[in-house]
Amino acid sequence: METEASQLLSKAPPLGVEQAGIALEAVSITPVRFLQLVIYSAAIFMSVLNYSVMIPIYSYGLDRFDVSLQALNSLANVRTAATIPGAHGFRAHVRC
Amino acid sequence: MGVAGVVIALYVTERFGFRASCLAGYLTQCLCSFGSALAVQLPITPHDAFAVLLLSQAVSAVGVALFQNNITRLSGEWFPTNERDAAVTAASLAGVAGTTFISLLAPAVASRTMSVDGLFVWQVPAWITITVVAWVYVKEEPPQPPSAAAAVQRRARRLSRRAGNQDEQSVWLLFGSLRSLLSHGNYMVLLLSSSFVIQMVYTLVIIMGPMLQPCGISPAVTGVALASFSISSAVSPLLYVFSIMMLDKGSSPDYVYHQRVWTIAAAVGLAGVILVHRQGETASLAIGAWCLLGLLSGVLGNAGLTLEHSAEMTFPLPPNASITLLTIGGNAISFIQVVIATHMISQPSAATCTMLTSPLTWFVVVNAGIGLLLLAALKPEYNRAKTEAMDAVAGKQTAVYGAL
Repeated sequence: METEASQLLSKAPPLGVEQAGIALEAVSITPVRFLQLVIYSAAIFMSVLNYSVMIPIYSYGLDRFDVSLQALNSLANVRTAATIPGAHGFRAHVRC
Repeated sequence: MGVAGVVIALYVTERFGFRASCLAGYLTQCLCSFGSALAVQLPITPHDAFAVLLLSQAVSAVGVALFQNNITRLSGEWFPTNERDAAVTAASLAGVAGTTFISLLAPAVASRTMSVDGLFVWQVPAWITITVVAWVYVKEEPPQPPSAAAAVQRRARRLSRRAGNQDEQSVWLLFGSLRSLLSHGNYMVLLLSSSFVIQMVYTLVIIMGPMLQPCGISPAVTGVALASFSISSAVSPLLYVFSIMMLDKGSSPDYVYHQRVWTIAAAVGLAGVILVHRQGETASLAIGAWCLLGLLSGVLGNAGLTLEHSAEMTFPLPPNASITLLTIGGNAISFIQVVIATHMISQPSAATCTMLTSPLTWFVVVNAGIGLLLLAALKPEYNRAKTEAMDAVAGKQTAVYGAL
């Protein structure tokens, strides 16, 4: 099956502009192309953001629902220079 | 979870297509965000809440590959030759933006003594929005392929679909692709050379705190050094995109040249961090060295260089297959490096901040050395560009593809 597929690929004629008639029409897809990238980038942004939120939680394990400022400070230190002055007493609230 | 995710993603993409794979990935993130929000909102014990949260994150870890793995599929399917690298780099930089955003948000939340719950809860509407918008607007492929290479791969997919049982075809493609990649010597050289160097960079980032502490560097300065690393590593991909625009003039980039330049640059950055790391290391020197490391290694980490290079040399195999193996190989090397480095940093010798003679220094040198040695064996193999050049020579108008 692999050989068959390889042959199909190697025998594929150079792809030209037999469909050139719709090329002009296709020019209008440029914004669509951009939109695909924007939606995809938004998803990447959100997934990394979710991962970043979890960093202090993984670091502090079960106690992380008690985490605090140390945890968020850790996150801040890991990801940026930001520190959290005067944030003592911050606690994550879990209703329990 | 991540490794399982990339293998599942490869199968799903080949079986059901790019759009279905991305939508499935976005749905898993909706589930994850919903579960995480429930974990912090439900009136349950912290122990149970933690279990719900971990379960949600496990779903996320598997599902995230369903779209992250398709980055070169997106660029190859939708963008002409001279825009593919920029597209991959742009999408990669969205990830950098994500970490930066949460880094800025977290202190803001903390300084107002607010609950961390919001960091989870607001992800639910965000993911629902992304999923709905994607459902409406994300398409499988453009009406016309943007390049000859994309046309060849589209035709191969269609022939494959007509060839028989779809499940069988997809499984064959999954294992067939991975087997082909494993026996592709040049690709393996690329995977190992880039992974040994870039994963070493990230390993040092992970152990940065305990590494700098014995030298008298305060946590605040460590934070600044990491921030400078993050920011400069986001800047260098822009330099990369600019350089391929200048050097390659719209044609397919000379990936081996760029790979060599940036891998050597990353190794130089590693050397810089190690060299300044000694007793008496000043804050400004530490910050400068990490900033330089970010700048010199950012392309390997954040740009599409290695991803597009692997797609280029393994053409006509599906580009997401090469990412799958890059992810598995990179994760494996990273895991080993982190375990060893973490052990080394906990040794008494590390507490004296004598990095020049510490085992960790030699560990970094050996890893970077392996990466550079392998790099020397990397050969130019531009199968995708060759296909596109053949198409142009055949009198076809590749420019038309570029105009799409």
